[in-house]
Order: sequence, then C-alpha cells, then structure tokens
Amino acid sequence: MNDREQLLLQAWVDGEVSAAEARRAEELAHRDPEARALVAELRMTAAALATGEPARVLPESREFFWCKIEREIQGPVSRLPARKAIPVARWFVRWLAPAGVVVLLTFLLLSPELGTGWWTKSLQGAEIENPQEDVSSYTFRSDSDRMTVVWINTH
Amino acid sequence: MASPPSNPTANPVSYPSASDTELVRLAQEGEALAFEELVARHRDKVYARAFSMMRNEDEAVDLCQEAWVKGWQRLRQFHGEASFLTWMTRIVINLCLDALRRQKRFRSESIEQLDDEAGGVERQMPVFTVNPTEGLEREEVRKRIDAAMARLSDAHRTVLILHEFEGLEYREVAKRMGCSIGTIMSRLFYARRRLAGLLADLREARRP
Repeated sequence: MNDREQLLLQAWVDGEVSAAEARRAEELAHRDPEARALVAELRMTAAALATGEPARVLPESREFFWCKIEREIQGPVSRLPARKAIPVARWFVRWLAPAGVVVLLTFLLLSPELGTGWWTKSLQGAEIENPQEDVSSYTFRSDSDRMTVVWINTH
Repeated sequence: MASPPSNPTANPVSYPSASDTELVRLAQEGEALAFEELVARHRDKVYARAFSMMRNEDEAVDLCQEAWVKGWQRLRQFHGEASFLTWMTRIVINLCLDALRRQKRFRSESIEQLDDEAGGVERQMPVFTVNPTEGLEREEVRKRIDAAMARLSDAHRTVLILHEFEGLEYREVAKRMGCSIGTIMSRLFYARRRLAGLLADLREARRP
C-alpha cells in the first residue's frame, strides 16, 4: 500500500471522495488486509474523537470576565451604536476640514469688501512709510587717515 | 455601551430564560445586558475551544476575551445561519489561528518535523487493531484524547480540531490554515495515526 492509497482510504473514511474513488478504495480494502486494518483503525480513532473533549471552565468569575469585556466595548471605537459615525468623522477630518480652510482663505483674499482690511493694507504697503524714498547717502573712506565719512541728504 | 433598559415594564424579557435568538436580537439593538447573558451562557465552551488550540490558559483567556469583544462589534453581521455558539466558536478559532501563525507555531523547524508533515514514520507504523478506548467511561475517553492531543504539534492538533471537532471539510480546513488540501490530508493522516499510537500507549500505561 503506497502513500496515495493510504490517503485515498482516509478520504474514503471521511466521505471526501468521488464515486469512482470510492469504488477504488472499497476494492482496495476488500483485497488488501493491511488496507482493511488501516480503515478499521481510522474509524476507531474517529469514533474515539467523536466522544469529544473534556469540559473546561473559564478560570475567571462571570463578573470579572464580563467586566473586562464591558470595558472594551465601552471604548469609543468599538461602541456598537457609534460604529456608523466613525467613518463620517474620519472623512471630515481628512477631507472636509482642510478643504474648508482653503475655501475660507480664497474667499478672504479675493473678496473686494475685505480688500481694505488691516491685513491687506500690510500686503499692499499703501500707508507704510519708506524713509529711503526721501533720503540718500554718500560714503567716503580714507584708509590712510583711518576715517569713514557718511553724508546723509534728507532733501 | 448601551445602558440597560430604564423602564423594566417596557422590556419584560428575563435574560436568563430568554433564548439565544432573543438575546442576540436584543444585543443587536444595543442591549449590553443581553450580550452579557450570552457571554455567561457560552463562555466555557468558547474557552474550551481556545484552550484546546493554544494549550495555554492565559492565552486562551485573552483570546476568548478578544473573541467576545469582536462578537459584540460584529453582531449585526450575525443572521442566524448557524447557532450563536457556532458563530462565536468560529470567531475564537480564527483568532487562535492568527495567534498560532503570529507565533510561527505552524512552522516545521526540523527535518524530523518535516518528515512528520508527510507522515513519514507513521505511514510505516503497524496498524492498531485493538480499540484503545474500549470499555472506558466517556469522561475517561475524553481525558485520554485530551492527553494525547496535548502531545501533538500545533499544526497536527489544529487539523484534527478543525476536521473532527468542528466538522470542516478538507477544503475549508486548507483555506483556514492557508495551505493545500494535500498538506491537510497528510497532516490529518499523520495526526490520526499518531493519536491512535498515543491512545494505545495510554491504555498500556494505565493497565493494572
């Protein structure tokens, strides 16, 4: 009996074979005593496993275990009723809020009513005094005399 | 968390006597106390499955807790195709599978283990003709199976649990464990033969 035949017999015991494979497995079990014994052992093991596992008790009290679960499901992310609101809030933070800021800035910059605001004045420089327009200066330096003369003309 | 019903007369449901279906419906509406009753009712069985997969009490408790939290979060996806316990068991199994994968407990690390994967030695092992559990009390059989399961590798024990205890077909086991059907068949064959040997050993060891 080779590996393939062993796995075929197992699949037959598990009912996971086609009709043709089932015929082959049955034939094999019929003519080969070793195959027949293997099938019997597989069935015996399956029957033993069908008895199940021993019952186990969670080693924590009902109150303590629930308390831990309750704390988790009370969190803002996993709270059941709030589940639908989470994606909207994330969408707002990611897209709507930055877009709103851009729209507001564009409005402020392009609005003619706001064109005389304090902040636009500083940008246009209309009332900023620039002393350099009326003042000119000349500089003279003598290295031999170690002297620098600056002449300022205020017109 | 949803608060308990403020007016008891508005909701006359007695949680301990309510059916799972009724409790699930109430929990889906946000009644945490109904969910608490479901937890109390099924927590031992969910824990038993987690323990049988992880073989570690602390890990099993943590994964159980995570499973119940996930159960609450996904409760709206439960439509009653299977029983609530089956649904919860599947959640905890998936968490255990993830944990075993994370811990690389499915990986074969030695040539011996690779040989085990293919069932090398066990395929040549003589067949056991005597039923090793014959004449034993049901609970004793369960204990022996548990002792034998504990001695299997994580990969082999998991295949047995999914196929024998959860009733999943080869294809479904392969999908959940992320390997081929051929690998599952080999692992299952090895696991069963080894289990038969371990049960026979236990019988011999306890014979007066």
